[in-house]
Amino acid sequence: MVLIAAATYSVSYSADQAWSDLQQVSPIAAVVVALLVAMVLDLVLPRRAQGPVSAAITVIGLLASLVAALLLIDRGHTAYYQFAVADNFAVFFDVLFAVLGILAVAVSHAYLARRNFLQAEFYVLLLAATAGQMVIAQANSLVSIFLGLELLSIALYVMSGFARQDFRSQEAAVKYLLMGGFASAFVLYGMALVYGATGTTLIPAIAKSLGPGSSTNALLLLGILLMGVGFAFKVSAAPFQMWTPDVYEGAPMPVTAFMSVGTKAAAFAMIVRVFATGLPGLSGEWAALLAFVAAASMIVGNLAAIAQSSVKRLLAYSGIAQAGYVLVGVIAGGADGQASVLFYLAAYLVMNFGAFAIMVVLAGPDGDRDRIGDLDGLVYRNPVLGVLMTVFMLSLAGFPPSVGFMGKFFLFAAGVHHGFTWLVVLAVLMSVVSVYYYFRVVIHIWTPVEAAERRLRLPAAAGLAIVAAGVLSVALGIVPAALFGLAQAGAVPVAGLGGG
Amino acid sequence: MATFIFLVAAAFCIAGAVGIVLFRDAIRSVLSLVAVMLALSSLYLMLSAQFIFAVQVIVYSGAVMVLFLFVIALMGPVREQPSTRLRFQGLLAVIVAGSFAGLVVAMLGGVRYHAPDKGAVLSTFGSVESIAYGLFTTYLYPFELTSLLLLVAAVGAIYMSRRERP
Repeated sequence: MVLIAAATYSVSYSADQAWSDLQQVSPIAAVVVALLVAMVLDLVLPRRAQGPVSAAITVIGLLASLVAALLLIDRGHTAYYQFAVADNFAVFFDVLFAVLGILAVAVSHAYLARRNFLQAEFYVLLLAATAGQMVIAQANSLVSIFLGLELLSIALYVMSGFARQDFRSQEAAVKYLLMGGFASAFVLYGMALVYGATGTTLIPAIAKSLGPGSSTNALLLLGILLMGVGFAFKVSAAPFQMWTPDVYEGAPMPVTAFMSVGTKAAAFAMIVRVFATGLPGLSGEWAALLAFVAAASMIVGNLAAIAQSSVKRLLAYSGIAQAGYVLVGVIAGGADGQASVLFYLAAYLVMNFGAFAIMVVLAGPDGDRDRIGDLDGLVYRNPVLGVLMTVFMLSLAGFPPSVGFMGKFFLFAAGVHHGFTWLVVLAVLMSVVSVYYYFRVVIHIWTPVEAAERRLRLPAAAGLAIVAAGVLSVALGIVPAALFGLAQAGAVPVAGLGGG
Repeated sequence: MATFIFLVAAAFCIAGAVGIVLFRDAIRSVLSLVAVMLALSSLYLMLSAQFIFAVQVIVYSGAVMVLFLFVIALMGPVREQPSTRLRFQGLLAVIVAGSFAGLVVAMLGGVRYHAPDKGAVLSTFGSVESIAYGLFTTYLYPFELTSLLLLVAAVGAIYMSRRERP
C-alpha cells in the first residue's frame, strides 16, 4: 500500500515554484521574519535593550514589507495553488497595513515606557496582527481569509489585555475574546455552507460556479447571511457593534488606535474580496443585507456618540458610523464604488489614527486620560496637538478641504450613481448629526484653562507620526487625485455590480 | 443503511450541541461535547477519511477533553451530588448494554457486514500519505499560516499567564 501511495504522489512542487510563490507573499514574509527575529532576540538580549531593539526590528521589518509590497505593483499573480494573490487590491492594503504598523510603533513606544510595560511581546503581537491583516488582504481563498482573520484577532485579544494590572484592560480582553470568538464562528459556519453549496473555497472559482439557480440555493444564501453577520461584527457595524465601545475603552490607547483602523480596513478587504469578487452574481442578495447594516450603523453610531463623555467611546461610536458610510461604497459596487472604499480607508487611517495618537500622548503613567474634559485647553498646553486634533475632528466630520470630505464625497457619489439614493440621503443627514459631537471635542480643545496648567511634552517619534497624519489629512483633501488614482488601480474590476 | 447511520450520528451531534448550551453543570457540558466529537468522528469515517477519524478520536475526544475535565475539576467548585444523577440512567444502561450484547451475538454468529463501495479508493483517500502530500503541496500556505497562528497564540498565552517581572 505504501508503494502504491508513493507512486500516486510524485512530488510536483519544485524549488522554482516555491521561490516564485514566496515572492508573491513577500510583504507577509518580511513581517513574519521580523516577528521571529524579535522573538528570539528577546530571549538573548539584556532586559534594558529588549524594548528599543524589538521596536527597531519591527520598524525595519515593516519598512521591508512596504518596499516588497511596492515592488509587487502590477506584477502580482496567484500563488500557493491560488490560496494567495498579490493583485493591486492586495498591494494597496499591504501598503496601508505596513504604514499603520509603523505609525503604531512610533506612537506606542513612549507610551509603553511611561506606563511601565515596555516588553518585546507587544511588538511581536503587533507584527502578528499586521501579518494577519496582510494575509486577509492577499487571500484568494476562504481558508486563507479565515486564517488571516484568526491571526489578527488572537494577536488583538492579547494586545487589548496588555495592561495586566489594569482591571478595565483585562475586562476588555475577555469581552473581545468572547465576542470575537462568536463572530469567527459565524464566519466559519458561513464559509462552510458556501463551500458546501459551491464545492470550492477559491474565491474566483466560487464566482464561476454561480448560475441562474444560485439565488434560490438555500445553502448559499444562509452562508452569505452568516458570513455577513460575522463580517459586520468585525467592522463593528450595527446591530453587531456592542463590543466596540467597551473594548475600545478598556484596551490601552495605542492598541485602540491600531485596531480601530486595522480591523476595520482588514474586514472591509474581506467583505469586498468575498462578496464583490466571490459572489458577484448574488449582489442583489448581499447588497440588501449590507444596506440594512449600513443604515443601522449610521443611525446607531451617530446617535449614541452624542451622549458619550469618554473620547475613546465617542470615537468608538464614530467608528461604527464611519463603517456605515464605507458600506455605502461597498454596496454601490463597480470600479468607482470600490475605489471610493479604498480611498476612504486610507483617509480613515490618517484621520482616525491621528486622533487616537493624540489621546495616546495625553495618557499619564497611571492610565489613559480619555474623559472629554481632559482635552480642555489642549491648544494652549500644546498648540501643535490642539490644532491637529481640531483638524482630525473636522476631517472625521467631513468638512472641506480635509481628506474626510473628499472620502465621503467619493463614497456618496458612487452610491448615487448606482441607485442607492435613499442610503446616501440617510448618510448625509447622519453626517450632519455627527458634526455636533465632533464639535463638542473641538470646543473643549479651545476652552481657555487656568494659566497654571502645565505644557504637554510631545515625544519625538509620536510627534512625527501625528504631524505626518495631520499634514496628509489636509494635503490629500486638497489634492486627492494622487491617492484616488492608486485606489482606482487597486479596485478589483467586477462587472454587473450594484443596482443602477 | 448509510443514511440510517448518518441520521443517528447527526441526531447525537445535535443533541450533544444542545446539551453543551443547556446544561448548567460545566462537567455535563464537557461530556456533551465529547458526545458531539464522537458523533463527528463517525461521520468522518462514513466519508472514508480514516486519518481524520483517528485524529478526532485520539486528539479531540481523548486528549483535549481530558484537559477540559481536568481544568474544570481543578478550578470549579464541582461536588458530587446524588441528586444530580441522570434519572433515566438505568434505562440508558440497559439500552447500551443490550446493543453491545447484540453486537457480540452477531459477531459470534458470523454475520456479514455491508462491504465498502467498490468505487471508493479507500487505500489512499484520507490516509496519512494523502494528507501529508496535501499539507506540503496544495495546502502548504494554509498549513504554514496555521503554524504561525499557533505560535502567536502561545506567545500571547505565555504573556498573559506570566508572573509580573520585578
